[in-house]
Amino acid sequence: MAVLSVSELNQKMRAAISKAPFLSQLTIQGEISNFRPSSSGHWFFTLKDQEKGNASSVSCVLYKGSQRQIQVQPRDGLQVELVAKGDFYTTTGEFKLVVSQMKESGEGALYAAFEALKVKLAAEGLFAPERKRKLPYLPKRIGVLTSATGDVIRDILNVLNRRFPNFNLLLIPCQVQGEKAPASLIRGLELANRRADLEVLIIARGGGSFEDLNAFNDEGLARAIVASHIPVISAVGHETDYTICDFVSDLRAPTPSAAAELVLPEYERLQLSLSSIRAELKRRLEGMLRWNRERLKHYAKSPYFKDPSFLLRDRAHSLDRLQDRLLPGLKQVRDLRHTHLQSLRQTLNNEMSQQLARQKERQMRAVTLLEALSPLKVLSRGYTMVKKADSVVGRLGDLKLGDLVQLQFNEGEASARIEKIRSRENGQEDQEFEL
Amino acid sequence: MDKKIKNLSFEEALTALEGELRTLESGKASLEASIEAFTKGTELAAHCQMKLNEAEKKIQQLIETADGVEQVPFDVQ
Repeated sequence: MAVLSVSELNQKMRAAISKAPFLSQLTIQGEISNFRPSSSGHWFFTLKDQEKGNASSVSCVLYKGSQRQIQVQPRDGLQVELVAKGDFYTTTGEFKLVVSQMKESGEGALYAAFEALKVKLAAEGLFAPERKRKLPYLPKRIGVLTSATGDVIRDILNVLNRRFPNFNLLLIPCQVQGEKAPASLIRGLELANRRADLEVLIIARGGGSFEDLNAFNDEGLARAIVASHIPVISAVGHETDYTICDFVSDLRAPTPSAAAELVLPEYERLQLSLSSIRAELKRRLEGMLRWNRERLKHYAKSPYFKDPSFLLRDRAHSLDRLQDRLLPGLKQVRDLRHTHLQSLRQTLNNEMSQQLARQKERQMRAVTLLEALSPLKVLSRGYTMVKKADSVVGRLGDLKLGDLVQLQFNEGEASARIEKIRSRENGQEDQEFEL
Repeated sequence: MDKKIKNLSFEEALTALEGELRTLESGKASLEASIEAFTKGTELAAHCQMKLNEAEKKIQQLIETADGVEQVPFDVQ
């Protein structure tokens, strides 16, 4: 065997490596560590991974010229996918990968896409609480989009059985992982929405890694959920897993079993509620009736109702008492008036009497005077009244000789003729007229 | 009134029923109002019971075939 020098070995290595087809362009995935940009501008780092407990690493370089094409910002810990070619450096005997392309891989890339979509859809208002519809209280039929095999559908059925035995469920089998999953789920939503009998839908999938659940971060699926006129409950993964599906649905359940609890109420509890409400209604009404009956009884016992004369008696007493006070009062008034009237009468009588007396006196005086002046009285004293032609002769001058005159005496009359007239007036005997 | 109750969903009827119960519980309602609350409440309770009982147990699965979509009973495997 020929003895090689180091440089000879390195040259052979280099040749061998440049001849290997798989090293001319390969895609490799790993984690960046020892990232250090050099003063020359080139980036040096190590790419490592952990597989089956064994750590492996390889040196990498990203020359300055190639950096323009790279969108990713390399840093330690970042999971990346590289396109590179193998190279062997003869001076240092080092194998290095010369990187031409780099992008985030694995969870990193997925997560970035997830975050970006989340922001985009949120900006469209698709996650807004106002958008979320209220679930029906007692859905007549529940639609479930999940795998027909596995624990998820079984768990859902078990919980529903326990909670509300007479439930009505339609399973729409879908793929819940892998590339075909989003399309399958979208198709399921379509089928569900074509029907008129489903009142609520559950999209369910058990736990898994971020990548396993990534189908539920699909934009098409999110929009299909938004377009669904049936309310959707999202039950994907475990409690700590959040997917776009969770954000855009009308309700998120932390697990598929929790969804089953949210979708139907407990039959037992409802039945108990109804029964107790019924009993309470009855109890309350009976209580009311009883109370009113007691009131009525109590009032009926009152002496006023039992013996109506009771009322009268009271009144009668009052009346009597009033009367007792009334009569004396009246009497008093009457007496007063009476007395007053009497005195008035008395006064009147007195006045009248006095008046009468006075009148009588006047009359008496008048009569007496009249009598005294009466010619008849004069006649009774022996005088005679001379009349001529029925009129009294008061003056001698009225008489002429030969006049026929009537002489009225007290006891009767006589007629005479004037034979002689002698006037005393002048004291001389006037003509004596004689027939 | 009877017609209106028939159209109520379970939840609506239950809420209305609780309302009638509250009227009775308040103790402030007249005797007539109490009797009415009781009557209405009983009707609502009967309606709720009916809704509870009419639920029918059915577990089915959709199958898409070349001809269309079919509904078949589903059994958990």
